[in-house]
Order: sequence, then structure tokens, then C-alpha cells
Amino acid sequence: MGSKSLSNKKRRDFLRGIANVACGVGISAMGIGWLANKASAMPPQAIRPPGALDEDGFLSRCVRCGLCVRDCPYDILSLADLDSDVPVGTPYFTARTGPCEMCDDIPCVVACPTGALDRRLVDINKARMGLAVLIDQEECIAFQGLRCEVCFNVCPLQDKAISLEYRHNDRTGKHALLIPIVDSQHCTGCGLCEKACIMEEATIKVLPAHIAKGRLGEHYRLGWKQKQKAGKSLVTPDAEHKFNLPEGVKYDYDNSELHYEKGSALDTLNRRRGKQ
Amino acid sequence: MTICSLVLQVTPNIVDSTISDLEAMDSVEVHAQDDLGKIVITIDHASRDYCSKTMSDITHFKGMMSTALIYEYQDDLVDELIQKRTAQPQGNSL
Amino acid sequence: MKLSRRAFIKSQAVAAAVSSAGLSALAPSVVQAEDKEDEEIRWDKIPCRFCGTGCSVLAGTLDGRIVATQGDPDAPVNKGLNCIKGYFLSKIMYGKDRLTQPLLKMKDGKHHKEGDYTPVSWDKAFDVMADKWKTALKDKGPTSVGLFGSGQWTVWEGYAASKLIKAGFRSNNLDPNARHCMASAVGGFMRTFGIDEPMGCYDDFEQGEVFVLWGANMAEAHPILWSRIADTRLTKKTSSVHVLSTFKHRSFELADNGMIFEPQTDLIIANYIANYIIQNKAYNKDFVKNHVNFKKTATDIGYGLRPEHELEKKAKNSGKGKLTGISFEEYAKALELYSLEYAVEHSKVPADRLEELAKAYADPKKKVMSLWTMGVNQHTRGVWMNGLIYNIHLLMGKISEPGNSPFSLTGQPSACGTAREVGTFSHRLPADMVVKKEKHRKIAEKIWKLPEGTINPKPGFHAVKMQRKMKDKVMNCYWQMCNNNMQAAPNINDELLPAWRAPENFITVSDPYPTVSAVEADLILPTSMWAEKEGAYGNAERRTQFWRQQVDAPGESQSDLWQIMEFSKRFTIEEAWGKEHAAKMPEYKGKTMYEVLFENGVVNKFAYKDGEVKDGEGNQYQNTESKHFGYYAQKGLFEEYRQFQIQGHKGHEQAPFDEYHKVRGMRWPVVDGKETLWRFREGYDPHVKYYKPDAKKGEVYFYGKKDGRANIIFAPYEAPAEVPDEEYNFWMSTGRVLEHWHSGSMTQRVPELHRAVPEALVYMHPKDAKKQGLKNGSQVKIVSKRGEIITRVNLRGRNKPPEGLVFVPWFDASRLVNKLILDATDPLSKETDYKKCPVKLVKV
Repeated sequence: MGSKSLSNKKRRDFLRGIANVACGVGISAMGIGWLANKASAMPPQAIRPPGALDEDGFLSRCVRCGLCVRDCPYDILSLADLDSDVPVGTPYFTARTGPCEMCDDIPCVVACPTGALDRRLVDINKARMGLAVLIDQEECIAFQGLRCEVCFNVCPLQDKAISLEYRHNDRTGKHALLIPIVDSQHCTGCGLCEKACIMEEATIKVLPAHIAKGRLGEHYRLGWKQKQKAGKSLVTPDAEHKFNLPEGVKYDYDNSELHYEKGSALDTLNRRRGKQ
Repeated sequence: MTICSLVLQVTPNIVDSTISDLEAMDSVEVHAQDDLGKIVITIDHASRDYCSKTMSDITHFKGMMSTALIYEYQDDLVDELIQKRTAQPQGNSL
Repeated sequence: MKLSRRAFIKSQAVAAAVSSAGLSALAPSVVQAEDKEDEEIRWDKIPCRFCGTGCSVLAGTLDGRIVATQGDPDAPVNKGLNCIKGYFLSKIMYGKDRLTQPLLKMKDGKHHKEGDYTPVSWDKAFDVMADKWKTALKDKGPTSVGLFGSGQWTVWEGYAASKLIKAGFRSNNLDPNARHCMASAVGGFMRTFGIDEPMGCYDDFEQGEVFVLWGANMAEAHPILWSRIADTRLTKKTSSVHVLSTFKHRSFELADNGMIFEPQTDLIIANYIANYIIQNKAYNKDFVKNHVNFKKTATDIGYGLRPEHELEKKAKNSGKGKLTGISFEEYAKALELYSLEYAVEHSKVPADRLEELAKAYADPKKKVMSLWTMGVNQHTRGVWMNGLIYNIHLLMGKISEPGNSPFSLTGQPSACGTAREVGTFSHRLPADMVVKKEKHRKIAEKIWKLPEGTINPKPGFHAVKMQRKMKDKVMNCYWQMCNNNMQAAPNINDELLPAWRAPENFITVSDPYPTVSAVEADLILPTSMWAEKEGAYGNAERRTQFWRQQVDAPGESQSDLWQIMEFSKRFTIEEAWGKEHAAKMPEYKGKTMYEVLFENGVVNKFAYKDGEVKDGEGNQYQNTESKHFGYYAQKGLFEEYRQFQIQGHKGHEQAPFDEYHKVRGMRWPVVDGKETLWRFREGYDPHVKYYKPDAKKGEVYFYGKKDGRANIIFAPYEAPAEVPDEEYNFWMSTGRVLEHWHSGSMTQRVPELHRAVPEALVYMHPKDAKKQGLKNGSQVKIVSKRGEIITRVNLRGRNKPPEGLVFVPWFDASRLVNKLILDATDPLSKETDYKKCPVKLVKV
């Protein structure tokens, strides 16, 4: 007997899925317990299509129908088969070989009959398939000062999802390092950067969010971000500060900086003392 | 071992009482429900006959509009597969 | 396993059914998450509860609980940053074992040393306590009672305590735990400048170029300040960092010149540098001629041990701090011994390193900031050592201007603001005044409206002496507030523990948590902490920061301020002062000590209405104490305290109370609303003109001294009290870790911090470990002549001691490393040396 909503072929796939799980359980009885856990046992390079619910939810909804795979215009999605670590019959893609091209109309989501791919996702930029992580800073040639920036250049949300941070190159003393920085607020996890990475083994990789992301404790906020968000100080700014200072010297309270009036005695004095 | 899942439809006003009746039954578990009177249960018992009988009992609950068997699992169906798999050399991949 | 297999199949079955039924029950969607709105949370500013840096945080309150914090982006000290301790501030008040009611050791319904802790009412608690205090006062006089306080007290708590003990009980037995921490720094300031606290400020981190750490691991102990130094080091080409220590620690990561020296030879190194400056005629001749006096200090001064100790009997000038004037030439002559060769031989620091450091100081173009904390202060010659660092800066004239700054760091949030400024030391009165000086006593008696002769001219018992006097049954009643002395005091097996357990003595401990101190007390008083009261702290750069009470304390907890004031109600002024002295002020007849001290028309001057305390947004705040006493107690106390700044020696002025609630702190002296960043230099410091009206532009005037000159004080090398021998063959130093603060009573209760660093390990050199048959992780017993602890060996960690020295952090209540330490102190500052203890290691 089987699900009334499944056709015969799908029923076979479905049973293979069950068999897979059952075997996992069987093997875990022999001491290999890790196979039994769903989301955490997924190989990290297997990325779910856009709009996928979190792994528990996705597995409970996905009926392994394969419609998303059929409708992917770039043919990047695969259905996991029995030899894969991904639960059998469920769709995934591998960024290094075939990243998501981020179709505006998101046909895979439209095709999904059960909501395993969330139909509320209508703006592909809001998809969170995973998160790009510059996983090996030792090898990434940008950290050596080489001008690469390939990941930045291919990023569909350039300057948002991946931006470049300019840092001083201490070694040469006269160049800048252009360091790719991923912003999780914007990265969709499409994987174009990983595919494009010129390294023998990619140094930037898309990982499922639950692997890639840390989380700030509920009990803490970043003060400057909260201030930026609120557009003002959360607590009333200080009354004006005044300081005892010699003539010709100004103290910039906000930046804690001393300013010497040009040509004042102190200015001369301090220049003599090698102040920069 | 037999495990089956069913979707039940009752009138919304008796969802709660139906659930307590269901929970009182041996080997029956309630897993989900909604405001419109849908209830998802499993029956999990060594004997297939027990499961059939229980399903039939539930069908005759007061206010039960429909019961649909969605899924049934029986040991013997997959035993063969398990044997086949575990006979292979054990690697990382399943 | 059958079960889990079954569970799996069942979950598949359920999934299929839920899916078919179209139930929309489960699963959040993985699309961009919207930020949770924090609109309900009320935010207000409050300084961090931990170290002396004085970072400001914003505390988020929801339903009467601090649910979150964030670094305050508008605070100049930290600009929104926090260290990992600050990150967890919102959790420190919510440990599971908060004390919520007074607990008295009782047996058969009565107080009994051997009894069990029994909940009692505040009334009962204070009845029993006051009874003990009254008996002691009657039998042995005011020196039989004492209070041990804290650099974590709020400013008004310290001030009220000072008044309670000095004016109320006419005892001077009040000392703060800052005695274990800052006393040597105070001694250094007073001897060299005649006025306490640094002349510079944190802006020196950006203004300076050369940074020299003399016994401070700022990377862990002052994390936010360290990141400021690091930034200057990274961005200013001419900058460099020199780190001196007896073992390699995290601050060495940034060091251009790291120096590991033999314990106690910092005295030699500092003298070598002064010698180098003079030999190379690099000193600032004008400055030395106009702003400095040369002195030498009495030598062979002992180790602050009990007088009957062999070492004290042997010392020629035990405890003497006498200064004798000498000429520059005599000073130069005295330094001659401290050649480079001599310094290298004794300190074991390579010659090129020492020279590099000396050159940095001696280069007139280099701006130098020297920084130090416990390595210099917890030192049997700590006052001398403070002075030797000032000597170098004074010889070069590198002082009192941006970037040139000898800077004594503090370890507690209000070591400066409370412990030092309001006079909680056994010899001090508010605003740098001392009980010994009649003029100072008179000013205090006038402000406090006391009959002449109320204040005892004899300094009270300092921290270490208190425990000795209690063990000797001279002092019988002891009240400990806001610190954890059983985990901090040296040599507890011989001194503190028998003192507290003696049947004659009655020990009261006020604490939010059952610390190792609390569990040895006769009476435990549950205490409000941090955001549960209105407060003020003063950080290391003279910055005074206020905060409003954010939440109520749990259960029956009350603040130290409430406890001090409420306890004073238990005494009539006759009981406290004696009938004879009380008779000098007939208008006080029959009044309680509380009425005399706190309802004196000044402390109770400001009416308090509920909801009166507001922030800039109009949010209202509670003030438990003011509500209870019926007047704005904190404001009254602060305004009365300000009278000491106005009527005493000028140079300590703070702004009026209300001004502080409007700002993230101000740096004193605040004169006409203007803060002072650098002291003692005309232009930067208005007091220079006040004390020397004809001062020229930019002229330096050390107005703490009558003639405006600072002292360069020659002090030689003298050996430590104990050195390793054949049996106790290692030096042991104690110190800090970034993750925990002080005795860990707060940070150890934050699960995340506890998990990060659950226990104090012993850090040692791998060669030493091998010799002792120890491996990384081995259990080892550390034994001194006074006690032992068991811990595990760490060979790979953040601290890398040289051969012959081991390092054990101090925070771990399950390993009381303080019991190993000899109660030897600097004879002048009475501060214990926690850095040099001979031990042996025994494999277990």
C-alpha cells in the first residue's frame, strides 16, 4: 500500500527513500550513528534549491516528485539517488559544478507542488540557499595581495553580498590587499563565487546556513549597528563637553582627537617631537 | 511491525475531544491537527490485524467525516532491501 | 535500536500524512529573516561592572529584567565595543544561586558559629550584628570593629562607608580591597606628586608613540585599552611597544621589544634606565632644574610582616618611608651601580633589549607612555617601583602632555572613583586627605558637622593587618562588602581562616552570591548589585560615570548603601561615640548615628519623589534607597562629598550631581564645567594658574607639592621576602585571564564564560615539566610553605613562563591560590606581593 497521492514511479522512489532511511537506521545499530541524522548528515556541498524550508521542514514536505529538477532551465538540480548521502529523491545542487543562476521567475519554486520550496519566495534576491564563506584565508591569493577578486566580480549581488575591503599590505608596505568580504545580509548562497574561484580547490565555498552561520547571543546587540538602525542614539547623547585646553588647541570630542592651530607654539612643539 | 499514518477529518468543534479519545487508544499517536478538523495520526503495532481493526474503529468515531490511509509500512517489505545493502562492503556512502 | 528505527519510519509516515493533508503546521521558511524588533526594550547607559577601563554599555530592560546589553557607540572609551566579559554583562545578575534573604548561622534559635545558615529578617540580622558590635565597642573601643570594602562600591557607597566608620564609629578600621591592588600606586603618587591619580588620560593611547608595559598584561586585563594601543601600533609608523614581565603573556604578541626579567629585578632595570639617561646626558636639564627635587628613601624597610617575624626584626628601618633631600650629583652617583652589565646580569634580559628600551625613553623626540598594574603594585617594593618609573619620566620631562604619560592603570571599576577618591583607606579621608593631619581632620569634621576630635588621628588597620588583628582577637567585628577576601587575602590558612572562625569574632559578609567568603561568615546579607541600584564609578583616567537604577534586586536584597545607612540606625550617638565625646555636641543628644550622619541637612537635603529619576527620553527609573529613606540619598551624599573637593586642597573638583546623568562621564578636575585631560601643565590644567598665578604658557607645576616640584626618589634594589630554594624551587606568579574578572564570583556564573575557562591551570615551561615528569594536562599539586592546591599543567597555553617560574591565574574559587601567598606586603603601601611566591610542584 502507499500514498494515494503518489504515482507508481514516484512510489518506487519513495520506497527507495524509506529503504535508505531504514538502512541508515540499520547501520546505526552497528555503531555508525551519524548517518541517522537528517540535516546534519547532509554533505555540506549539497545545497537545496531556492526557497527550501529548513531541512526538517523540507524533508517532511518534499515528495520527491522531481518537478523542480525538470523545470530548472540551467539543469543544475539533481535528485539524490541511492548512492548519495542526500536523502534519496530530494533535489540539490553542487555549487562548484553547477551553481544556481538565480532566475527571476524562480521556476523551481513555482513547480513545487507541496510547498517544500516556499512559494512565498518571489524575489530571488531574498533566497537563502546557503552562505558563501571564505573558508581558507591562508590559501586565498587575495590575502597574499594578488589581484584576483574573481568571486567579487561574478557575484550577482556585487558590492552587497561580496564587497572588497582594502587593507594595508604590511609585507610590501606600499600595496593594498583587496579582501573579499561576504555579507550574510545579502548573500543568497547561489554559489557562483565558488564555481568561479580560480583556486585548484575553491577557497570560497557555499555552505548550508546551519553550518556557515554563527549566532550572536540573544542577550547582546552590537551598539553601533543598533544606532545606525535607529538612526540616532538609543540613549540621549551627552550634553556638550568642554575642556581645559591651551590656546590654539582644540579637542574633537567625537573622535577623541587633538587639533593644533597651524603655527601655534604647540603645533611647532609637537612637530618637533615627531608627532605625525 | 506495522506502522501506518492516516489523515482524519472531523467536524472542527470536536477536534479536541476526538484527540483525547484517540490518545486513549493503544498504539495510536496524534501528530498534527488544524483548525478545520484535520488530524494526522499514526498507528504502530506488531500486528497488522490490530492496525486494521483500529482503523476501522476510528472510522466509526462520532463525527468522523473521513479517514484516509496515507502510508503503511511493513517489515517484510524492506527486509530484502536491507539485507542487500548491508551485504555490500561498508563505506562512507550509503 | 529498534526504537529509533521505528521512530524514523514513523516520522516518514507522519511527513507523508502531513504533506497530503496540506497541513501548514511545521517548518519555518528559509528566506531572509527579518530582524526581531527590540522596540519593547528600554535602553539606558551604564558603565561596565568589571575592570578599571570604564567602558560604557547600554543595558536593555524588559519586564523588570536586563535582557540584553550592547557596547555604547557614543562612549568615548569604547565606542560600542566590549570585551568578552562585557559581552555577557546581562547575565551576571541572574546566577541561579543569588542570595535573596539574610542568613544567620544559628543553633537552637540563636546565633552560633557551628550552626546552620537560617533565613532571618533584616531586623533580626541587624539586631544580632549590632549587638555584637556594641559589645565590642564597649569592651575594646572603636578599633575592635572594622569594615572591609571595595573598589567596586559605587562612589556614594564608599563615601557613606567612610563616614560610617570614621565619623560614626570613630574607628579608622576601614580598608578597601584596593589595598590588594592600588595601594602602591597611591603611595607612588603621593610621594612623587603629593596628589593621587594619573596626570594623563586615555587620549595618550592615540597621542603616544612608545608604549612600555611594566608588569601589566593589558591584552587580557584591559582588553579594550589594549586594542587602542594595538591600533596606534598598527597605524603609526614611529610607534613601538615594549613589554616587561616575568613570563611571556598575550601582550607579547604586539611587543617590538619583549623582555622577560627575573622577579624583583624591575627595580634594577628602572634604575638602569635612569642611569643610562644621566650617563648619556639625555635628561631634560631645564625640566629637572625647574620642576624636580631629588630625594632618597629609607632603605632596608622589611616586608610588612608581623613585627615578630624574623625578616622584620632583621630590617633596620622596618616600615619606614622617610625621604631625605639629595643633590642631582648624589642621585647620579647612587645610580652608577646600575650599569647595563649589572642590569643584564641580574635581570637576565639581553643587553640589546634593555638598551633599546633605555634609548626609547632617552630620545627627546619620542613620546612615551608607561603603563603598569599589578606587576608593579603587588610588589614588596611597589611604592618604590612606582616612583622609579616616575623618575624616568621626570628626568626626561616626558609628563603632563599629550602622549608623554606615566600611566598607572586600575583593576576595578571604581578603584579610583571610590576606593581612592572618597577615602576608604584606613589612613585616608575624602579628596586625598589623611587622618594623621589635623588640618584635614578639621575640614572633615566641619563638613560632617562633628565635634572637634571625633576623627581618630591614628590610621586604622589595613587589609592585611585587619586579619592579623582579628586572629589576635583585637578586632572582633568585621563586615565585608562588595568583595571576596577569602579568595583574595594572602596566607588565609594562617591568618584569615582562623580569624574568621574564632568564636570571639563576628563576621558579616554582604554579597549577591554565596562566595567562598560568604560561606565562612556568621551572617550573610543579600546584596543588590550593579544595575539594581543607582551608582557612579570612577575609572583609571579620572572619568566619573553615573548610572540609573535599571531593575529591582531579587528577593529581599538591598544595596550596600542601604545596608550602611540602615545599620547606622541601630546605634545611638552615645553608644557610638561614648558619652563623654557625645556630650560635646548637646544637640545630638539622644539621636541615632543615622540621624547625625545622614539626616544632617546635607545628605537629606534633596527631596525625592517616586519617578523623579528620568533619562533624556523621559523614561522613569526607580531608586530603591531614596524611596526607602525619603530623600535623594545618592545626590545628597555626592553633593556633601563635593564639599571636600571645594574646601580641601584644590585639584579634585567634580561637576554637580545632575550633570553626570547627562553624559558618558567627565574627567576631573571639572572646573567651570570644563574637564581636564592633562594635569599640571598650564593651559591644560586651570589649577596651575591658581597655584602659580605667574605661570608661563605651557609651564608645568606639580601643585600637589608645596613648591610645585615633583620628587625624583632614589630607591635601590632590595631582595624579595622569599626566594626559591632547593625545596621550593619555583617562582609562582598569579594573574588574570581575559574571560574572568577578579575572584570569578560574577563571571564564573556566566555559563559561557565558565565553559570557556572552567578552571585555573598552572602554566609552566615544557623543560621544567619534563624534569618534573609532568605532561600537558597532568594533575599537579602546587605547594608553598603555607598551603597547597591541585590543578592541571598547561604547556601550550597563552602564558609561557621561562624555566623556573610557573603562572597560575586567580579567579577559580575551587583553587584558592591566595592561600599559597605569603602575607608580605610593601611596608609603605601595605599591599601584598602576589607575584613572587616560592613553590614546589608535586605530581599527583
